[in-house]
Amino acid sequence: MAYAHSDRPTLRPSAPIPVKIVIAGGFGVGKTTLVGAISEIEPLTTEAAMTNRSVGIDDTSKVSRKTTTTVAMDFGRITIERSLILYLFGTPGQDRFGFMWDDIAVGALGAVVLVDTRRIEDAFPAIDYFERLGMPFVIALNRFDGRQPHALDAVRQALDVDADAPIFECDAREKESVKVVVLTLLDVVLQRAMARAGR
Amino acid sequence: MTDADHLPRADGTGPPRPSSTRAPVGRAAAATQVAIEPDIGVRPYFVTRGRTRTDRPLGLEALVETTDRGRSCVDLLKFEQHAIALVCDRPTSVAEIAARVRVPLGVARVLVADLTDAGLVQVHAAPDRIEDDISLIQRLIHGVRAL
Repeated sequence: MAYAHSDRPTLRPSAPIPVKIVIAGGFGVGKTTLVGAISEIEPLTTEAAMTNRSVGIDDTSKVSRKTTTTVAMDFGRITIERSLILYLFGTPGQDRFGFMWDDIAVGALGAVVLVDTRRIEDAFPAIDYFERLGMPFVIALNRFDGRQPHALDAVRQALDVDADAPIFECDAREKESVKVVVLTLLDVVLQRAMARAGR
Repeated sequence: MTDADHLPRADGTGPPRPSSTRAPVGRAAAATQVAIEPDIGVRPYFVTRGRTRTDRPLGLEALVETTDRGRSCVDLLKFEQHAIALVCDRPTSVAEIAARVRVPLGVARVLVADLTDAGLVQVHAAPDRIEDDISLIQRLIHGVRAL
């Protein structure tokens, strides 16, 4: 023991490292399902409470009243190694809670934008957000009961994203499929890191 | 893996933790007030591991772990702080704390900050520029593949 004083917090040889990725997309697109398919724990829900003044949804009203709104977000955990833990945080689905995204996204390694091809436009805010942030992301089209009404190219065109942003199909209920989603994102993150390092 | 099952629940049930009921009352009681009167000989920035209140807020993913000192006086803590000290027997993220102790995130952050100031928990934040850490990213890839 290096410390004579037992009161001191013990610094262990390898402090645990938390890593976070973001799972974004429209309301009801399957974010919590995706998290649950790969998380070692049942997805947990945490809540942030705020007044409507901070939410800013009542701009037209001059009436000063405070109501409390609660934003829920779901997340899961994967213990990669004893000292390396990966968290998957789902964004709240509603646009008006976009301010919560900063809290979720700051320090994140990258993001998955989950898309329901029947409601492609729901993915626009998330894609805009991560592009603006310069955060690596991949676009996963969630297959609902095997339906696949749009070809990948059509979706790419509709989403108007750079050709190098991976777009692919997944099944948010299937662990193996979700593993591919996460691995595809991590590969993008790795390529970027290697490019920055000049390797 | 389901190591969440090993976590003590906020209501105090769960697996046994190291016995701590015989901590000297005087010292332990003082420890709960470190935020007001720092322990002699322990530099404040050491207790908080370099963090101060003006730092950016704790990340949702930041891992919180009860210190030896926190374990020794867990029974003197009340309500949510008691629950946090139990839950964080293993490193537990701020978001998990909020979910398991059933408090909003903002409350969890304040409670963790107070416990950190008192030296009862320590925080392991993600290192800066984690996106440049190639070997760490590779470890993540190997880990996810092996799931």
